[in-house]
Amino acid sequence: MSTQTVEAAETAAPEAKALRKYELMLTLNPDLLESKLKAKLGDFEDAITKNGGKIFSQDLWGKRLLAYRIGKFKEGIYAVYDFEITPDFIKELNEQARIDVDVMRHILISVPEGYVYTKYKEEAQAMEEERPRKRKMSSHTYPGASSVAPAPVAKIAPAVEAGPAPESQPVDEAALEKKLDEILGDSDLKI
Amino acid sequence: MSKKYIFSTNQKHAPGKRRCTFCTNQLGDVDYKDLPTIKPFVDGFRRIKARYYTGVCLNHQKKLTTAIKRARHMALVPFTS
Repeated sequence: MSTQTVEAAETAAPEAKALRKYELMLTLNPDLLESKLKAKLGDFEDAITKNGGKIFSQDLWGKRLLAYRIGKFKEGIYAVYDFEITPDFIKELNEQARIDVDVMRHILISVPEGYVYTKYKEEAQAMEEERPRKRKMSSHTYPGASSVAPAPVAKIAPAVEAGPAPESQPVDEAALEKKLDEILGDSDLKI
Repeated sequence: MSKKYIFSTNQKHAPGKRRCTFCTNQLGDVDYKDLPTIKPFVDGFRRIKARYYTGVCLNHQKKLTTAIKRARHMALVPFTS
């Protein structure tokens, strides 16, 4: 059995040797338009695929707040690629990321053979799951606010539902105006 | 990260119970993208905590430092605060 595995390894060796697993993370300029962003990411994808590489997973995190300011930017667009390519081309790919004006930061690392890309939760989300909040803000209502606040909501809601019947709308508007005057006339109101 | 891992980072005063948290949870490599895992090993000034305090084994401490430094470079984690 051992000889068989050795043979299999030998036959697969020339292909397996040529390719290695890597991971590329890019932090892009947040002011990039969506079309330009697509083109920019497409460039990197092409650079990988046209040189005999193979992309396993592409993960676009989207805009994210940076931990510190880079240049004048406080946020960046993050993208992560998990791919396979010949080691000869890695230098060129690194250079391409380095030269690019819109790439603020990049990291290109080799990854162990059995590596599977996993998307981790945000820190806040993980904390929330660990110990969920006991109170919710929405459930609490102030006694003073209850007389004023729910009334306009109740008025607006039926108007939206009764879309096909336009006769009822002017009545609602008049009532709303009255209510508004009442609210604005209130001496307790602070603006 | 569906499992709940034990992260007891204050092991300075428990000499008999000093265990590497990564070894006990059978975590091999430390990923620089895994911020909730990295967080307990960084102090209030965002400096990497010494092995003396956290009880992490040397093998994992080396992996942890590279992960934190990579995360810092990509602005996922601040250098100082």
